[in-house]
Amino acid sequence: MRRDLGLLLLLALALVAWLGWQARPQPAADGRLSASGLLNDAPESFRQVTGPRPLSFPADHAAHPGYRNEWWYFTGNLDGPGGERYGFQFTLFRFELDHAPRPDSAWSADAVWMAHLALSDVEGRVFHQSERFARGALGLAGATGDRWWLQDWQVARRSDGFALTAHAEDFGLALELEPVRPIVRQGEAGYSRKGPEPGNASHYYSITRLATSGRVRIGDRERPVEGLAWLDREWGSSQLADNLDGWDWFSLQLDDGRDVMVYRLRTDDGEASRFSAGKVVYPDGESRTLGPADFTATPGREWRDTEGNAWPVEWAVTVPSEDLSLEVEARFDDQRWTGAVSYWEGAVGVRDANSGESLGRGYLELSGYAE
Amino acid sequence: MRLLLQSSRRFFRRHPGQLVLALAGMAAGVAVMTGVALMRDVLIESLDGAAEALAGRDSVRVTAAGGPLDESVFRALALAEGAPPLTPVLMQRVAFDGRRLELLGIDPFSGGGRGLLPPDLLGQLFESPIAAAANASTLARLDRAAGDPLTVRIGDRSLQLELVGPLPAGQALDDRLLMDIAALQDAVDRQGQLSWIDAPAEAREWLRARLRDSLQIDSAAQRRDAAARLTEGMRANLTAMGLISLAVGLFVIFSVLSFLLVQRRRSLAILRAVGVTSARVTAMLLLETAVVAGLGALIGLVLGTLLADSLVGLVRVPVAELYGLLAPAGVQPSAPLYAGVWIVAVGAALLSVSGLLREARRIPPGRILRLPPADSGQRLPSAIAAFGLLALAVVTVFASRSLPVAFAALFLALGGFALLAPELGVRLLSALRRIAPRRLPARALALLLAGQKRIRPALAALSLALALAVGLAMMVLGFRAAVDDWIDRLLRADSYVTASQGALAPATVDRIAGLPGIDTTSSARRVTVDDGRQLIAYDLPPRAWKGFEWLAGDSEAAYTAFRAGTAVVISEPLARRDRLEVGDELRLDTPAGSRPFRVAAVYRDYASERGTIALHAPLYRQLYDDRRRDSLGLYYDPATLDEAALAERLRAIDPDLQLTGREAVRETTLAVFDRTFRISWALAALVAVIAVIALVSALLALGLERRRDYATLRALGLTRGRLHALVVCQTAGLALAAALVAVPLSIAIHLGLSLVIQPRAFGWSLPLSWPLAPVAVMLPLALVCGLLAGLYPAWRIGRRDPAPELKEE
Repeated sequence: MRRDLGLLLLLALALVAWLGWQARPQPAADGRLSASGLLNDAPESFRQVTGPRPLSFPADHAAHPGYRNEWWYFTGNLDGPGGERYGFQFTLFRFELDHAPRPDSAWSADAVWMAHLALSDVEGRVFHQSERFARGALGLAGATGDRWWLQDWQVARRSDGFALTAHAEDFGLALELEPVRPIVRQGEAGYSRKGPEPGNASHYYSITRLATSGRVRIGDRERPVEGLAWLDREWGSSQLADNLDGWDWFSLQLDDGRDVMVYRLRTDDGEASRFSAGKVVYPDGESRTLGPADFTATPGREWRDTEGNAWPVEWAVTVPSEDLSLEVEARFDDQRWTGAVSYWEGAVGVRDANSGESLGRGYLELSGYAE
Repeated sequence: MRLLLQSSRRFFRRHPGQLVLALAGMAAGVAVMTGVALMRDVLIESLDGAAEALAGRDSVRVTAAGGPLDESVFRALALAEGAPPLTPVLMQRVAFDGRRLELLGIDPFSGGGRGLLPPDLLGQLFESPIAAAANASTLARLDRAAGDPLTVRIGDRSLQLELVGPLPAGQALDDRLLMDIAALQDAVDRQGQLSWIDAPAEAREWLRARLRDSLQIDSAAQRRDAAARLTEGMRANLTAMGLISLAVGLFVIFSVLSFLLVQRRRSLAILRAVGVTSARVTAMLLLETAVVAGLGALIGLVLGTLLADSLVGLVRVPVAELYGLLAPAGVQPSAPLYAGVWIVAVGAALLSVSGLLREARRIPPGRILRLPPADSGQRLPSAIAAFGLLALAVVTVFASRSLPVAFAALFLALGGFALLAPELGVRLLSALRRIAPRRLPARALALLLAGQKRIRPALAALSLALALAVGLAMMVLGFRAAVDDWIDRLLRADSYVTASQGALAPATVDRIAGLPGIDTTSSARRVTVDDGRQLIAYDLPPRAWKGFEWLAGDSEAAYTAFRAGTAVVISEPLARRDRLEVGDELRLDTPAGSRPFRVAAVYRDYASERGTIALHAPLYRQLYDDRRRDSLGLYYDPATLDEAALAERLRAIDPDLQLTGREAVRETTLAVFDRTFRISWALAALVAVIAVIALVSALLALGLERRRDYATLRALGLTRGRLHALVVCQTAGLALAAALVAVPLSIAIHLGLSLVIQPRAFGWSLPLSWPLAPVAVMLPLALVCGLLAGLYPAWRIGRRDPAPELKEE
């Protein structure tokens, strides 16, 4: 009796299991685009950066076709009327596609564009981020000497600076940015070497200090803001050497008027590459290039994200020749990009390592920690 | 209760055949019902797969009425301030190996397309202008692997693709290949065109504020509704078939369970004698039914899923051909659907045996003789009930014009008939017995009639199933003849010219009309206007006008008014749907403003269920500023025509032009028709299979019940061979009686489907027809089936040793 019942039950269970398997929910499409594929080594058809070249403006504000990648990179720290603090980032990336015959269509693209917009709400400890893509076709995205845009996110060049407007669904920016330092050519007259091969380099210029004012919006709440921003412009084809693991990049605006940029290229074994470099810009616009021996950057406390990746969010940075011994600390830990590309880009505070006195603020970019 | 369960179990162990038959009947009925339910889902839920995969389930869609969308619309929207994520799509239908595929040209960087493509696939789509990404099930169906070439056809042209994949996407992208939009535009020469733009539902207002009024914005629900409406008739027919199959399956269950009751009359009586209450006996029988029906239904769900998976192709092909919709290639079962079917089936089984339970409760304690059950004397009431149901069915049909009501009436009528069929069958059997020529068949039938209570459910199930299969076949044949007549009459030109890509440009039309050997031309342009109505603009010479069959209105007067541009003629489905009659006014919203037209006549049309408004072409061109034509009818001048030269000259005008002869158009139309009804044939065949199960189960039951009689006959000297003949005579007689009863019913079903269901489901009427071939086939076939179905019971019965059977009581 029991056996028969058991058998019956087993049969019914088997049938129900089969039916349950048939009725299982369909797998959702989980493919995500990663821009890292587009950052690979460039084929030989791309132009290489092999030495300094004269830069002229506004012509070199425009895109440089023929190179694999290029970016227009604003970061900055802003203050609201009640003393609330914000960090912001707006970046346009251009990835040129392989040079193959293109279909006869207005949609035929020479490049793919990606835009990143982020707003760090320091008091709320919320990192708002939004990314967009567009093919370089139909005028959906582009960069001329006077205008850089991806759909309605755009930077327009004015006589006295730049106007940046970018609104995502739940936050946005509308800022006027006025340079208070001249354009600085990084590396050797704008030729920035990143590795031993001839093409491991980029053309790189910056405006390290822009007086910024305008409005930021979070949800429906808009606030007037003021502060300082930094513009980085860089293009090249196969900047990074194969043995690089990632980089740590600092842009620090000190209260005494000095702007300090240093980057540490990390090799596979965790050491700083000999191509790590930096620049100090003085209030009068003069600047001094830093070699790998001129500075140190030592990671301190690490923050673990939900995926278990450890990001060093506190640093000790020294530039002995400038008599600087700095503690650089994230305004808050979670300023990590979780979109197509995984990196950490956030507002930081700068203090004197000995006295603890605040010396300024800046931005920190960490890459290669989540791969 | 334990005692009762023991008794149940012992019985089924001794009679595994009974258990198998009961399970088989239930499973078969539920299988067809499940299969139909799953296929219905394919016809409603998943037709919007492209949007679902690319832009999410609740997207809104921007389209241009009756044509492609200019890509400048996308550009303007995408660059506007506050633009939502927009998904531009260019869709191109292609054929591969007789199968329909859709090429979807997407921009992986716009809107929702991005998440679909893993980086490596994205790279491949950009690297090669012929790369097309497919999901795993599509690759499997095409029998191709990623990296393989695939040559698809677009009309006369062929297009070379290279498959990449598999795309990590579900069945929404079945038979849909993703390409980069630039590559697709170039490959199919559709530069500048989009098919649609999808956007999130919240963007509706934003879009409306920025789009010209002539562009349509439809929500996902509207699109699904439209798809559902398109396939409404088809779904209704499928549903009816599913319910009928379940009903026939229930007859099998009823017949088997009622036999089980007879078998166990004796043991039940003993149980009652030892003090088991009748309530407990009822509970036991209910439990037994629930277990058998529940298990059978589970098996049915499994079989139904397999069935739907293999039959879904029969539904997909006509859906693609008739409505241009690409349904998923597999079914998508859901737990609620399974649960729903299971509960309905088991509930129906319990209800159907409730009559038997009454009989079981009345078994007095200790009555152990297995007498044939007394005639219940319920024939008169059941006849009254039967006629009542039939009368109610007639009243219902006339009470409302809706399709569900018509189906309800059909079911009432079938129910009435099911009550009537056994009586008619039994009378037919008695008549057969009287005219049977020899002693053995007459005796066989007499024995059969003696157990008539057992054969009544079988008679009902059998005749119902046969009548349904035959009635359906008659309707399809009648419909086919009507379509053949219609198309034959409508096709007046000698041949037709179409473009394999898009429409014919005005200049092309003029050049074709001027070719030597062409006497005159007609033309047609079919568009869907803003409000969703179908408009067809005709240039019709008088000979072409004669091709229409007018169901209302005067042909001559209508022609004059049509050409004068004051009136339109409308198709029958439109007249029925919108309740329009000759003389009524109909307004058309043209780009030049709203204009009234008088309905001059109604014509027969089987081309569109939605209905069509036919307008004089010169007027259409003026009102809608659209000078293109979809097709051109060529009327030859026999004196100067050289057909080979004509084809050559057409090719010289444009290699895309296709010349199709009149006969080829007719054959294509009928081929589409035949493919549309393949699913009906398949379901009719399944109903017939269930009927055979009903027949075998009834006969086996009968044979086992009568085994004492057979033993007596054997003891009296009946040889084994003659016993076999006796049993086979019975099955054949039963099948023949059921088939004869089914004849008038099948004709009634044919008339009901043709005259009531078809007009309500599709909007068109069918001329009355009497295709009797299916009846002529069914009678001998039923007889043969009856003979074959008798072999197993005969073998079982003949194998028994008569001595113990006789001793048993």
